[in-house]
Amino acid sequence: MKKNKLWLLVATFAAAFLFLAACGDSDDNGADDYDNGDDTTADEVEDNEDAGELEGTITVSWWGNEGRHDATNEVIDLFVSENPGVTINPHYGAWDGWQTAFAGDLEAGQEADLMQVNFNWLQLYSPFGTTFADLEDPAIAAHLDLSNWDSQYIDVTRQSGVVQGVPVGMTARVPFMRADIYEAAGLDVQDINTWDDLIAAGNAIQEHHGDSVFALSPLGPQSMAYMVFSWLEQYTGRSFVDADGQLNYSLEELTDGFQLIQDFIDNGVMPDGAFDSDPINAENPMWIEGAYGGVSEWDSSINAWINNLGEGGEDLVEIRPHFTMDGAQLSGWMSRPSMVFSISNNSDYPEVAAAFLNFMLTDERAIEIMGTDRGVPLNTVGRAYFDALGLGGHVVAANAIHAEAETTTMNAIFEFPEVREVYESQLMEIFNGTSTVEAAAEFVYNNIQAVIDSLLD
Amino acid sequence: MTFSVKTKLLNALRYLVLGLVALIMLYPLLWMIAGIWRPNDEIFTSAGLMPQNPVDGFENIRNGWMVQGRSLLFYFGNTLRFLIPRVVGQVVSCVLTAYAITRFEFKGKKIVFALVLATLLMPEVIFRIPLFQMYSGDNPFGINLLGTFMPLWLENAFATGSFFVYMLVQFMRGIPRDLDEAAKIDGCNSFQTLTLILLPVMKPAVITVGLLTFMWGMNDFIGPLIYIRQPEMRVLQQALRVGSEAGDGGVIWGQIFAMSVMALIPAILLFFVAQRYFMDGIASTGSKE
Amino acid sequence: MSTQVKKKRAKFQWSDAYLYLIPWLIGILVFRLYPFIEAFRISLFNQRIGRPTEFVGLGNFTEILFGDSMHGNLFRHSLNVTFRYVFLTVPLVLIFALFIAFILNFKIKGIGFFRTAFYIPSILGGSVSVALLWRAVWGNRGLINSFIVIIVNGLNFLPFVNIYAPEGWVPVGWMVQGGTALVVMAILRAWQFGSAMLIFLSALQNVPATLYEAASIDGAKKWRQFFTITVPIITPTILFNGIQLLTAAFQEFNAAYLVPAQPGGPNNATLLLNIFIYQRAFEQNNFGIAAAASWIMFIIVMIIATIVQTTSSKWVHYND
Repeated sequence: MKKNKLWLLVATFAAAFLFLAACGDSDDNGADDYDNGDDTTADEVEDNEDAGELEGTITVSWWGNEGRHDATNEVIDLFVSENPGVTINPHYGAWDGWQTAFAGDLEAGQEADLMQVNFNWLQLYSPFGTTFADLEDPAIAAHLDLSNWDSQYIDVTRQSGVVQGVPVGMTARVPFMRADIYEAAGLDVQDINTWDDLIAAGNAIQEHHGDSVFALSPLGPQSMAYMVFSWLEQYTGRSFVDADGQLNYSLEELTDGFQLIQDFIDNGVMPDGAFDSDPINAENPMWIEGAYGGVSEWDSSINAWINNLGEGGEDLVEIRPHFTMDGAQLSGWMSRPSMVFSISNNSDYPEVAAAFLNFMLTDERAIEIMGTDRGVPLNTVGRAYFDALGLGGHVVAANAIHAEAETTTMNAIFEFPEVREVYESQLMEIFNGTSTVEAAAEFVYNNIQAVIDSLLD
Repeated sequence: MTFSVKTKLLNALRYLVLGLVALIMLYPLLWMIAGIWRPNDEIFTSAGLMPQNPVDGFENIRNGWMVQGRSLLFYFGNTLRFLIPRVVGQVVSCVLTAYAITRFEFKGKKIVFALVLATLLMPEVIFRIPLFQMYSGDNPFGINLLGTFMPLWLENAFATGSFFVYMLVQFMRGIPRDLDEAAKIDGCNSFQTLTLILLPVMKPAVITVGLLTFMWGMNDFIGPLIYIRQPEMRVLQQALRVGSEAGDGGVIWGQIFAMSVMALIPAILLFFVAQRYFMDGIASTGSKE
Repeated sequence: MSTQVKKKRAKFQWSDAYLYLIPWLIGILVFRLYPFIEAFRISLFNQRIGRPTEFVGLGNFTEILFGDSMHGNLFRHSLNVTFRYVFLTVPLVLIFALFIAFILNFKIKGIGFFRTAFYIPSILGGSVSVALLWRAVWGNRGLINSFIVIIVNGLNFLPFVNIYAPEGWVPVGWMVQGGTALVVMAILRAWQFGSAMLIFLSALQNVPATLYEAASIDGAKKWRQFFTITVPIITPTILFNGIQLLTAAFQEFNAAYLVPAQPGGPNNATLLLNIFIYQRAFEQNNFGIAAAASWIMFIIVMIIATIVQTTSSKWVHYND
């Protein structure tokens, strides 16, 4: 008899649990039924032109190294001291694993009010502009002055027309060359401008240094792709996809583009897959030992590479503009926001988040505190203060070299993980010698449109 | 050869083999320790153990001790805040469960044991997201446990550590029933039998469960990654990652190694001290069913 | 009629065990079965953050099992890789662990030191430092290849021996060739055999010494004793360890993610199933596919474990 009751209790509990859990899940994606900008706060704020008495508690999340943490915390303290009604809880950590935690939070509706977001994640997690708060919403726009940004940069963060984040800076992959390696082979790095120059340099370097030294380095799947598609932009004058998401290149053009990698391998510009078993990063032993004449890296990430070269490393590395070709139709520079800040759709105090964001990115003292910890600021106000600081170094110089140039903004579709998987895997096959250029190009040509289409609906 | 010479030779051979293999096992640790005294470029180009251009290792150790203004000891303290409840909860609930399975006859016993084994085989990756959602408020009580350490030890208090249930079941089957009989004759109920009579005999196994839980918990990174965000709550593993983040000026790997080695010390010490109980503990899991 | 009623009552007899099992019951319902079923539910949907969730039924499953998409091809490839990895690793670990345990079983001074030393790799776990060192050892210019080069150069001094070994020669591209890359991963896992070894060691110490004595008197050598006495007696331990290692190997993630130059290895040669799942879930924001793949992983592990368990009666000897 006792036993009956117990099982009944347990069964009911289990059934109830499962039932409730199943029901509880339907609106967790944040995608379907969230209203934008119907917050009651909107009315209140519109009546005060000045931010005045800000009140609320928000969480701000970001990843980075200790320098960035210290600087950001200092900015937070400054803001809070000037806005006593505000409490800010910082959540910060290492890059390692950050995306996992971030995605988990989004899935469960637990994300921070103000989040540092990797640019790709905007397309990844908010393809239709529904996951993050609309930054043009009046409640938010009252505190975050989007006019500080050139409109083209704000358009970049629009997903289905909705502004999902504010770009902190623009970045591009910049060639960083080892002037000493070129010099020893009788070349001046400043003379290497076109792809042909580069290929000739590859041969010259191998002749002088031997088979184990290269004009560049094993670029890695991402950089290889950027090189190839930059080349294609220069060659055809068209970027990756058109306005409807259709691939902009013919099979012949794709094949010619992929051939670039094979030419690199055949002419000592880069090794093939069998040469280096380590990832191409700042800790790569071959880089440290001087086997690689150059790397292609994001403008703000070069310092780690230089540091690992030891004493005097910064003198060995020179920044070059993107390789080009005679008759290039586009510059080949493909830039994208380095990172953005987004506001949560579930935030109780979006206006506080907006105000703090505005402060962090445009206030003179905040800019001074941050220095280059988040790269070179993009918005005009912040940029002016930054320039006034007169900071030097490779990061600033690298940013300058593409900021002034005519760049194409990388299309979101280009960076979709599934799309990347298609072209990067084929480039890797060429790199590893397991596929011909023709077969690789054909594979991409035949498969990529279907993948793109499936992601666009 | 005489018998004793042969034994001595064989013994020497055993020590030689053991020593060689021990060297292979210890090599990474020794390499990391050597790395504390090396500059970055040497670390990545040398797999040997002698630093060529030594740097001030002690400075690396001093710097590695602090992450974001707090010492590694502080973060270790945070680790303990979830690890100790986890160990206690795991031990208690697994012992209770194993006791039920081995010392009672009841309907459904086979199903229970089968379920224990089945949960052993479930891939952990399946649970992550649903559990996270559950802890974040998506449960019938509407309680949000994020921001506490509870998600990191709650489930262990409910015998979800099937590996340990299995192990304790093996061990307990080896304990003679006479003890139970004697206890019953003396007037003990089932609970008193467990706590007063059986537990002392089970000490080695129980210590094993606790020790392994502790060791695995020290290395747990994904759990804290998902559930712990506030910087002052961060555990040792997270602090290590933060301290290792390459930044504007790049990272000093000697310092990272110093940090990593220091973080390993509790686990190694604990193991060395407790391995005696550990050995006796798993003793009866093998040769009996 | 009254006998029937009596029989029924006898069947539903209360046992105190039920009280002791309450924590376990709660545990398994709340923390295991619920997420498990929830994961299955997710696998029936096209669940991605930021997109409306659509019900696809078994679509995710059919796509990865039979479909011609990147997901499908990579999934089946990763199944292949994982199977080969498991069947490489599990025997390797079992053999290493048993071998070392056997040697450690003799009365040796400093056994505590050796046990700790052998357990240290397992303590190190899947850290970045281990990944760094593994590359330094197995890399193209790593320790092992350097060793080979030294030997080959030495051999070249002998007359009649002329092995081609130019400057910068790489004997074997352990980590860049698909075939060997997986083996290197397996060795990494096998190097962390500490837990399995300890379990074997305690089992060995439980074998009654009298059996060995009797065998010695009958003239059997140590090795013969090992195979005819020791191994049969510890077959239950071999089973326990085997199943543990099997499950763990199927779920391998850390090493295969951190060590290779690209996650997944050269041309995805080391794309283990768990990495595939992780990539779909967290890098591609496709939880439906990830959940479906996890479920298939579970079913496979169940099937293999069941096969091992049921065939075990043929080779496992229990002692009671």
